[in-house]
Amino acid sequence: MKKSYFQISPNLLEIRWPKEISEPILMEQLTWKNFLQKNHPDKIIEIRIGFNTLSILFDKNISSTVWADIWHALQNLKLNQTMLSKSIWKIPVCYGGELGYDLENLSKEKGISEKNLIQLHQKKTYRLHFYGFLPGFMYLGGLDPRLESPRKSIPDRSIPRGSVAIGGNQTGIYPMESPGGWHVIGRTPLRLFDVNGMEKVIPRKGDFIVFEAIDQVDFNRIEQLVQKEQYHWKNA
Amino acid sequence: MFKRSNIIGKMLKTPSYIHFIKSAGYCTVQDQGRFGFADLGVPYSGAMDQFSYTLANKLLNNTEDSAVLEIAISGPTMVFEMATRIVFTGAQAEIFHNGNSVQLGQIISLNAEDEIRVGKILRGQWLYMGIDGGLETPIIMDSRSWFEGISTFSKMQKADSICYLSGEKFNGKTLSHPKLTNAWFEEEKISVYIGPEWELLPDQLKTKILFTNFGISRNSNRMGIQLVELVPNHLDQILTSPVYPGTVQLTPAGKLIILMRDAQVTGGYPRIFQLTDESINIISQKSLGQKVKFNIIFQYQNQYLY
Repeated sequence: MKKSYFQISPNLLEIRWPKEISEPILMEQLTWKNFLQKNHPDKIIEIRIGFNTLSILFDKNISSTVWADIWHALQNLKLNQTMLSKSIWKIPVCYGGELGYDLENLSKEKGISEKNLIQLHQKKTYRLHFYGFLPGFMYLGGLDPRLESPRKSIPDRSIPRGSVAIGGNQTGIYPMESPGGWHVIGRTPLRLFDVNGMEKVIPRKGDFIVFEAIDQVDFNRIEQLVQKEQYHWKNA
Repeated sequence: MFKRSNIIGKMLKTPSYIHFIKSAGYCTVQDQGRFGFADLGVPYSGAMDQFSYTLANKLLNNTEDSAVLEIAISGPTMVFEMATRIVFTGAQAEIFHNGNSVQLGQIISLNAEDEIRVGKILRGQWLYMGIDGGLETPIIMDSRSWFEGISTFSKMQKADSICYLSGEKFNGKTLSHPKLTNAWFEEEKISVYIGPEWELLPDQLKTKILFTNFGISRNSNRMGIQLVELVPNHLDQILTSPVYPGTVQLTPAGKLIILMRDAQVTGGYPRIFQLTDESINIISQKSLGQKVKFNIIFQYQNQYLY
């Protein structure tokens, strides 16, 4: 895979892969991130990844010779297959109705029955590439192309916490109430983000996510468990 | 600037409160920011104008990460329960201590029950009030900065009270107040580095962007500053990529958005510039209608291959 890098400012640099959402890219990103964090913890403040980018914030100006050495090392790195985990996290979702208020419209627009739409959404395993947009918002790869739909031209003023939605070629979960332009097809009672500690954000980059349809009764039951902090995330 | 050489004995501190008897236009608690959680999608937040924020703490001899009040539009009226010292920096504003006008940069010694009234912001956007020892609001994910969804509070309201530690007595010396001016943020030139997607612009558009005086638009807040003049373009969208405070995005509709402290950690619009740290502070203080011009200060040789 062709990679190049771009120095933005004296201490900020970005590496870019081909313009695609793919697992080989994610595996390389995570391998490189891991290498950088292990080998240069003194120089690097923060590493972020996007679908085909990885940015490195250095603690001070990075000299071209130091960077040349790091770049050389990265390119000769053996890919670590274990970086893409096999963990699959189940996310229970109550589809349609009041909780998934755009499902009916989306189903009409796409000419796919509500039932089929839910099935298409549920059938896939989604790879967690990174977090962005909102605290705890997962960027997931793997939406069925039949479900792709342009974002709303006028965003909703407020999308409730836990809403499961489709926007463009992505699906995601709103971890907190927020304005947004995606089509809401359901809601999960799980908390995707907890300010009381990062260890409570369960799925890690490279993990899988699956959605599991539940009814309103289960939704209420799980929501209560979550409130009492008695719910344990489940693996598929 | 004076430095304490010896600190002998222990100063007694008593928890005390600032009572907001009239709310401000927009007022939050801010510090340096919340770092180390961008990985989870958490914005940095922190004072919009880090220069004035840092200055407020320096004048008070506070630790550099002490929390301050950040005030925009118009100021609050506050009553301080117990003695302390405060200082204002940043935007020019009408500030009164028990009815008497006070200046930016002046260390104000307050007695119990003293009132501070901040009127209109006259020049600039963000006014900072530093307080001896810093504000004692909760630390969430390593920072006291307010951000909706992270901190319990996201905007100061009338009748809110906020904690600080009142000292029994202060070291007798106070700093002679420097005459703070707003000259530093009147600079029109905004120093930038080129962003990853800059080279994708046709030369004609590059020239246009570099020769336009862009006005600050009404759609500006802690997340970002939008500019008025449009730059119609045919740049492709990018796959969601990292963005930072100071990243300048160009939208398909031709809007330029300068991301600020509360910005998301990733974005999908092409990134044409990255402001220097100093320029982020300068532009934060620009008001509606004021003009700015981008000035590329340096281009690195190692750039993307297209």
